[in-house]
Amino acid sequence: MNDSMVAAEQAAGGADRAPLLEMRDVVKTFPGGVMANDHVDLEVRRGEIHGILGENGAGKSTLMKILYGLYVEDEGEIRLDGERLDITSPADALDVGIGMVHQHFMHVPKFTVVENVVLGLRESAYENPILRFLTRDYSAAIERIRDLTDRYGIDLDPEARVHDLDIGQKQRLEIVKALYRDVDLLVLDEPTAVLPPHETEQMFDILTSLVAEGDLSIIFISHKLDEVTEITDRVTVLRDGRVVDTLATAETTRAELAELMVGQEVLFDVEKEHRAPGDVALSARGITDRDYRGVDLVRNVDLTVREGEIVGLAGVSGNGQAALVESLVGVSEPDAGTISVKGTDLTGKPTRAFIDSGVSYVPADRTNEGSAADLDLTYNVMLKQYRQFRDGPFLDYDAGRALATDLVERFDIQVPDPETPVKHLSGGNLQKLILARELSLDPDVLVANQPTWGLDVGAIKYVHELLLEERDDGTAIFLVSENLDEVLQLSDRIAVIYEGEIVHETTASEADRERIGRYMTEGSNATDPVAQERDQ
Amino acid sequence: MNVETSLEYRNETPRWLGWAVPVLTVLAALTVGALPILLAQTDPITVYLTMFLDPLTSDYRTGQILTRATPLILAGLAVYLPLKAGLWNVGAEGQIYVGGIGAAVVALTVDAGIVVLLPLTLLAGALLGALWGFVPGYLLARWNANEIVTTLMLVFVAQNLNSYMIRSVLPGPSNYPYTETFPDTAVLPPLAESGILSHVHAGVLFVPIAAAAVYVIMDRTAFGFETTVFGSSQAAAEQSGMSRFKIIVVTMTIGGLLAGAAGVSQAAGTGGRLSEAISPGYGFTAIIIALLGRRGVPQVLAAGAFFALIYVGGNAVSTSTGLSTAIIDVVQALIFLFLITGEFFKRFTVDVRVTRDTAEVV
Amino acid sequence: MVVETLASLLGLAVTMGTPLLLAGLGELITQRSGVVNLGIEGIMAVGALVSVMVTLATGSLVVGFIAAVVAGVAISLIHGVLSISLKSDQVISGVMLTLLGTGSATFVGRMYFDGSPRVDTFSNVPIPVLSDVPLVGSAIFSNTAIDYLAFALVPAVWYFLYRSNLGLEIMSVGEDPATADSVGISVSARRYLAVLIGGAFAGAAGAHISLTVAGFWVAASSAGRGWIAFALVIFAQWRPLYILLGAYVFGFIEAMILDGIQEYLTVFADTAAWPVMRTLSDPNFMGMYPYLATIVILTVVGVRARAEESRTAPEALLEPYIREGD
Repeated sequence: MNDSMVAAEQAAGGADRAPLLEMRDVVKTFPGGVMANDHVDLEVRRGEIHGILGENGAGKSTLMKILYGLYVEDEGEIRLDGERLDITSPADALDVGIGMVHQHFMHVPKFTVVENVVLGLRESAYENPILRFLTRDYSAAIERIRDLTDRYGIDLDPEARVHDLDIGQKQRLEIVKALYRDVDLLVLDEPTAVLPPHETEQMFDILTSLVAEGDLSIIFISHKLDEVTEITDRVTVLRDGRVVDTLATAETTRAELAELMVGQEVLFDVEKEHRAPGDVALSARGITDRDYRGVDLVRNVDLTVREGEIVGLAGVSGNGQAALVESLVGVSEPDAGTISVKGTDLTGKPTRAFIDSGVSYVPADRTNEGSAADLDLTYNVMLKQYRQFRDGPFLDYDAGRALATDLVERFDIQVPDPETPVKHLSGGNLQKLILARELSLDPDVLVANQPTWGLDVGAIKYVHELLLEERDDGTAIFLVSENLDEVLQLSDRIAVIYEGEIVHETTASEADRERIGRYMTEGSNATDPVAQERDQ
Repeated sequence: MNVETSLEYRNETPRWLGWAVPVLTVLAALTVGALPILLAQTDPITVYLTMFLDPLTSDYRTGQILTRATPLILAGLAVYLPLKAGLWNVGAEGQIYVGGIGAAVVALTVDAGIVVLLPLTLLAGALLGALWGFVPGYLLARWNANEIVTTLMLVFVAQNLNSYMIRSVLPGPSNYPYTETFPDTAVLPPLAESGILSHVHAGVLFVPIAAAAVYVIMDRTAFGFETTVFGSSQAAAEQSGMSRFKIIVVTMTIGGLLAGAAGVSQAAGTGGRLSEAISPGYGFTAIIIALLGRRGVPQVLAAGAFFALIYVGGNAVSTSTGLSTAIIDVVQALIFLFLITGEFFKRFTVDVRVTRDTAEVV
Repeated sequence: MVVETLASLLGLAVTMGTPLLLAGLGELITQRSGVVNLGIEGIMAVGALVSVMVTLATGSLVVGFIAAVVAGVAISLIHGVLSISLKSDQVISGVMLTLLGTGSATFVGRMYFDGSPRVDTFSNVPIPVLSDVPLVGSAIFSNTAIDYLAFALVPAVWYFLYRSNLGLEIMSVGEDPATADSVGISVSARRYLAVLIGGAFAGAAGAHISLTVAGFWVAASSAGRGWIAFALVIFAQWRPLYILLGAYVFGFIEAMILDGIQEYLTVFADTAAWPVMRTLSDPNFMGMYPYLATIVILTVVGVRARAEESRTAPEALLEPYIREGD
């Protein structure tokens, strides 16, 4: 904070609960027409921990990136202590006292903690700018860091090399970076997403301490209900780019927040016949997968999908779905567990074996994984079935083109012309293309991850009808989606994933929307009697 | 006052830019190239006319174009194929050298009739070139060793190996930088007794064969399909069950083989012996050729022929005006330079705005 | 006899190693900022020419040397603009620069000079006391000012990278440019600086080739040393101290090549190992060693890095930086 801001605050009477930060009517639209922030209002008061709650795609990240200078808002204004701000870069944000702890850490692993903290500040024994560049003296910085860490109970050694730190320490590094720069407002973006449970408690203690001792205000972005209710004073709920409500945490319940976050709207009614499922088509036992650090992404998951049924996996994005799905389709090998397709054990076999066994996959990332974005329609249509068009070592491209024409017609895919790279297709059409391709393989098992993400209503409806048709045809479908409505409407059986584990399983008829929502956002705590009592 | 430059990815490259860029590139290069020529007190127009038209005026020179086009196109294809898979074969130069070495070893040590010896010579060179492509490919596929560095290092290994072979293993007449001449049974003969083709050796026949082969592979086979997909998105390729290992190793190996064939053509054709100057940088020119011809084999052929013209024309210029043959390198490099700059304009739209200071953040 | 040979080899190693050291240190700084400059060879060629031209024109070796440094900066600026501002592929830009540099140098040189122009060279300045060491002293510890400068640059570069704020910022830009950007460091400004420093050093290396032992300019005088310098950076795992060691080791190999070490080994001509020894000490065969060594190091490090997850190469090497949201 500089002098004129202090003056402004004093002039305003130094009100304790006066808003520190105001974001008014913020609009941000991305190319393609997606309105990530639709006239969002946010107000953060001094000395509070303000939560921003919402699913992925709700607009939380975008809003914070605008605040932090990575994006520039299309409309709207940001005020700090009443003064209008013009933030066009992260450095600007830091200059006015806004610090951000990113979800994907921003640090240089090869440097030490102190080097990371002082990067850009040119700490030196000299005043002269040139000398500050040509020398460095971090002794004062190290002292200051020790001071900060002691004061707030943060466990971090200034001289440790960052790539030796564990994940909790790396996150604390991010916090210390902000503290060192004397921020007034600290924004934490999904801070507990990467932490094991016991570290979360530590983090909360630090946050409480920061507010109490350090006179900081905090914005806490999350999709995890239990954490938001534990640590925040007030919470703003975002959904589909808009603010649903802003409430005092003490005056609401987790159930209410879940409802606000996940929504009650039913998109449309889909006719679903009741069918008796057939034989087991896909069977996974004990799937465990770890990342390169050794952190569990998926823990001991068992799944069964039968012919002619849709098993839906509900869960907020980032709880292990990607790793699980990649194991199921053979794109990556799990660290433990077995996978069988139609009775044959395919664990450890190459992707090709899965494809040949009748497994089709619609990945969440349409442009980088689901398609070869620079290539045209024909290439993308032939991506998996090109082997069927082999004539010796040669490839019958004419047959491929014929298939492409056929699929374009059958699935009503809008393409400007067959030669354009598919990256120019709209999201909906690209997804239709991918589905068309996968389904034309006549699969026995179809695994679809977030298949309607980012699509307009018409396209969503189309995809849903397609999936149901396949199910009626006898295909076993495993649907992963964070859109609870979608899962509820389409699935015969439902499972909920939270932090890599299946925490709830139920059938379509017995599914309780509210309960499932709770499992999605709290995990197994959803049935915790103590927690339930707290909510009465 | 602020000058703000903003860069934005283009959503679509306008069609006209697609072909305008190579043409404008060349024009710009020639314009800038006129400067050193003027400095040398020579008339640029004369120089360029000589460079581009003179070669077409004599049988010998036209034959030279075809002769030089052979290694250029082959090496260009050697860079083109891995490029389709998204890989950089910066080592075509070394693969040429090694092709020559292979040919020389067989030609000078094996005793057999032409029916056996000539194919054997060709095979030896091509295989050694293939090896020179295989090693970087394997190191990349297996251990993620950057192929730019490995192929580049192997260029200098090959050059030194070449000198070693010439000086110590297969020495020619005392201390000259080349081996003995190959026996007639291992030499690529001229195509005709007289006319243009009498100045062109049989190595030129590699070109249509190689071009056809690469075209067929890339545009007609399943492997070519996999390579194209891999070049666009490794993830999509792997998720479709394609083998990253296979694609990397095979494209790099074939690349090496093609450049090796270029080396064979140089050694067993032109001169009929292995020389330390087997390639005046064809392998590096090949990089420009592959980039200019990125869209397809016919474009590679055209680019290769064009640079062959520059090489022969450059020599003609040197002879008639006394300018150093280095002018060839300069013109090539300038074409390269403007090509890169042109690429930039294809990918981005540049917006330069001059604004006044807005009220700063307090 | 053996000692004398060794002494002369060591002395020659220092002289041959200096251009490698200079260019290597320069490329080290450039790569630490995330930019690969494959144009070193071209810059050295230009430096070699310019140093001779200016020395002859002004009569001063020092001015000639400085002119080469300036020329190096100018040429590397092209690479900077192409790869940093225009976001072009650094490989293409660098190879082009080498072609342009060597071509231009040869062209202008041949045009300007008839035959090979001679210059006086920098004279050897003996280090007191050390150069009096019997037998080896005068060979190793009596060298030109540029050699001493190069040697002194090693701790200077070390200090610059690891003990100055500017060095930290340059390295940060090569490791994680997004992080550096987020704290207000201009990624392109730091990268430009690193590229220009690299160009200056490469120009100096070129000057050394012409203005020391050789004393004349000839086309292609850089003779591939620019490529060895590039290999050296990888070989040395981006560490200044290892560049020093590597430069002198590679310099020693070059010395052995120039001195014809094979002759000295003829004493072993009658042993069973002779054929192998003869091949291994053949000057051209030895020429392969630095490059083979680099490939081995690169592969081995790659294998280890996957396991240990602490790669030595700057993380953002070869990637143009575009800020998210642009």
